[in-house]
Amino acid sequence: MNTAMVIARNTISEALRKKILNAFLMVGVVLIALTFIFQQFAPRQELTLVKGMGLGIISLAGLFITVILCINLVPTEVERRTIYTILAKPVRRYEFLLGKFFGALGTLGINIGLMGLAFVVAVAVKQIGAENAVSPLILFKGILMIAMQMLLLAALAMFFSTFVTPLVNFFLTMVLFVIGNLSSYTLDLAKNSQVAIVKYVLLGVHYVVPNFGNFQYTNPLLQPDVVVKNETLFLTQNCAYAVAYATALMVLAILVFDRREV
Amino acid sequence: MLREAFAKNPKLAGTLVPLTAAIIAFQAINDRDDMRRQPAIEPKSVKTAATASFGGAGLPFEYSLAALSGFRQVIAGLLWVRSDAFFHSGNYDAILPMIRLITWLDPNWLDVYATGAWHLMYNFTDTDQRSDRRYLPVGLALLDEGIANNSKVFDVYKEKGWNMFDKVRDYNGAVKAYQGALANDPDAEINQVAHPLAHSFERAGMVDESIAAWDDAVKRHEAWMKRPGITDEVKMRNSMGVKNATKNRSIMQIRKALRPANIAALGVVDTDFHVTVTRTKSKVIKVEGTWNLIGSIKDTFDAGVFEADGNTIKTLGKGLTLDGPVNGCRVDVRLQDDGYKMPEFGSFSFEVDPKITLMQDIVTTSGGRQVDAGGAYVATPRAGNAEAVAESAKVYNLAPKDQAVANGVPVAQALTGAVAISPRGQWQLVTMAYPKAFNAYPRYYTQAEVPAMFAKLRGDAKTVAEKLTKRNVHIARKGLYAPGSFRREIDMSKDPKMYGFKNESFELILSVNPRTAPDFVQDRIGWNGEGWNDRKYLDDKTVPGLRMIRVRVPLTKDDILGSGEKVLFKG
Repeated sequence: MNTAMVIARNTISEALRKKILNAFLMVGVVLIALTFIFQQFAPRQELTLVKGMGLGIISLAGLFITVILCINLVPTEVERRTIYTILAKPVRRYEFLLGKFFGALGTLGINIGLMGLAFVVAVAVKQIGAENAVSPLILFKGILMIAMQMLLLAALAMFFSTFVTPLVNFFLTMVLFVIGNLSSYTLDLAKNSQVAIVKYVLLGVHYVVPNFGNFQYTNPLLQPDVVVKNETLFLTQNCAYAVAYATALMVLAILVFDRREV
Repeated sequence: MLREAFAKNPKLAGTLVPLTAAIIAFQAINDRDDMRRQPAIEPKSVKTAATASFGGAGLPFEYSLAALSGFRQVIAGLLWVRSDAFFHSGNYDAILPMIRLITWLDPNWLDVYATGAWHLMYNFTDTDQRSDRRYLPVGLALLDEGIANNSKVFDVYKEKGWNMFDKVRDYNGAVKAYQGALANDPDAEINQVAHPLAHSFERAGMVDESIAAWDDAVKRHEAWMKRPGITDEVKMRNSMGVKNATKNRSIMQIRKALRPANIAALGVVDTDFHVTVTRTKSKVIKVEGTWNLIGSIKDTFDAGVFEADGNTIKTLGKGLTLDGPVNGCRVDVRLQDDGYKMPEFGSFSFEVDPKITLMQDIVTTSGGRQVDAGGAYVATPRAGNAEAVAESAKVYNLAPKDQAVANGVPVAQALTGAVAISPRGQWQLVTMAYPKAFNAYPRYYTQAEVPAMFAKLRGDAKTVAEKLTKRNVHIARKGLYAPGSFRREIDMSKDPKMYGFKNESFELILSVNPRTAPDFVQDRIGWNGEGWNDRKYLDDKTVPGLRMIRVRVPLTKDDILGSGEKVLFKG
């Protein structure tokens, strides 16, 4: 596992050298600017807009950083033929793959963490002097859900990267991200369908495709009066779902990568 | 490839079985109605927003996709920013589909319901700024939807209460809405909910309930101030709330005790309501009339003595001590399809029936005046409102035509004996010459005080010159009385979209509701019109317990659309 961690560290430093952090910087600036551009609205509306847009921007930036980063990690090593040098050393394939994955997660963690921090600070500043202000720290719940969503997305992109080209991987991952977000509706369609085969296909889609929609937790953060039932269970089991699904995807990725000719 | 991999690493491949089981189990938990699918996290209306198309408007595909892909709040926010831009450019029609979509995308965004209902109920107007009241049921349906989606928060109840009170003027409906806020949200803002509840009770004619509501508001404020960790600002707001509620409770207690006694002592006012309705040209009607609008004269109502706090009543006063013609009571004018009743909508839709014609306006009554022989008046080139100091002495402005009737002389001449000044005239001059301090009790001179003060005035040439002659005060030889009047030309020809006149028969309803009359009028005629009567137009049947003045004029399509001047009603 130490080997994987060494690869992970290298992956992070390589990613940072690619100036991917610039994305964070840009998003951070946008988030802070957001706190000023809605000033024509009443304070409560302004705060709703700032929070909604802020979480949306973090989510969108996270999506692109994750996909662009993860679809390229393995193919780039193969393309540059640097993978031969690595695998010639006492490094197992699964260690290489896990190292790359953890490196990607570290990079994502830094990005989402910094964007989240900038966002929470911006909201806290905006709330100074506001009456009945809700602690901005609760926004970290939303940021945690975004991070878990990106963890799952990263695993999916890593899995595909073991056997398809980056371009195909990009489309596959993005399409599954959208379908996964619609999982609630595929379930509704399945329930309402009168045709047995359609019902089971839709149920299959609902359970097989990663349910990215599970991590949508913006509403309670924007509307402080909204009462969420089973909040702790909701957050915990979604984290567990993301970890379990990502683990399964990485097991599959290891199995595929192990048999792949490089 | 995968089969080979599984065969080569059976142990690792075996881990997929418990992982798959865990994934399915977690997903099954999440699919429960009280988890991801609970309205707080994923409202059903989001799907409607993404798939519905209505009135030619709907979310574009990419917006729908984004909304369903976890960016619904972003889309809602963008639409809200856009609708704000439409508002500032005056394009109100474009805002309505936005509101529909936003409330579907984010049914917990309270401000959208409040602002949306405000747009619907206030901002759609004709050229002369009369509201398009066809939108009232639509606005109420939006608020009902907001309440259904946010039943534990006071905000939308409060909005509905205010709209019921101010716009629809359904005070029972307002009471229901405000009570809903208090019953469902223990943190309801007392000033915004409990106070208007008490006012709504008063307007609904429920006096005891109003007093009890003020009592309740005081208790709620006091309880709030004992909450741990409240800020100084909240404390101050509640402290002010206690003062206001206590003062209002006292006012209600005074009114409850004194109004019936005053009406019994002064008798019933004959309103003698007259109105003429004329079509001046196609779709333009003129409404004019006169009636006796009698109320309490400014500063002459004896409320009594208050405790040192200035809010709690210590000793009750005498109530109304001087009445006469006053300004300010409004006559409601409503032209509608014959038999129109405001519909109740089950769900919000911004479509209104273009066949409905509904116009409502208000006309203020003013210009009532009275001068007794030997009493004072102000000679002015044009009739108009008297100065406050003259008003509190029941001294009216008289235009040249009235001056000729009163045939008076300047006050300086009258003081030399040119005209006899009546005891009421002496009181008027004293009141104008030596006005009482704002905090004096009582605010007026008693008749017993007048002889001494009048004697003082006779010898005070400087005060006579500055306070009376300079104001052109005269003493009348003959008495004069003129009722209040109202007049309005209502032009519906400029807004054919709003006033389509598609039906064949219409009704024009003129009404005066005592419950919406100013307090100085209610002091004379009571909350429910107990103190007035009208030989022709008193209506105590439309609303049981309420004595309105109500004139219904049936009209045909030709009456309104025909050309040329025509008197449609005179009575």
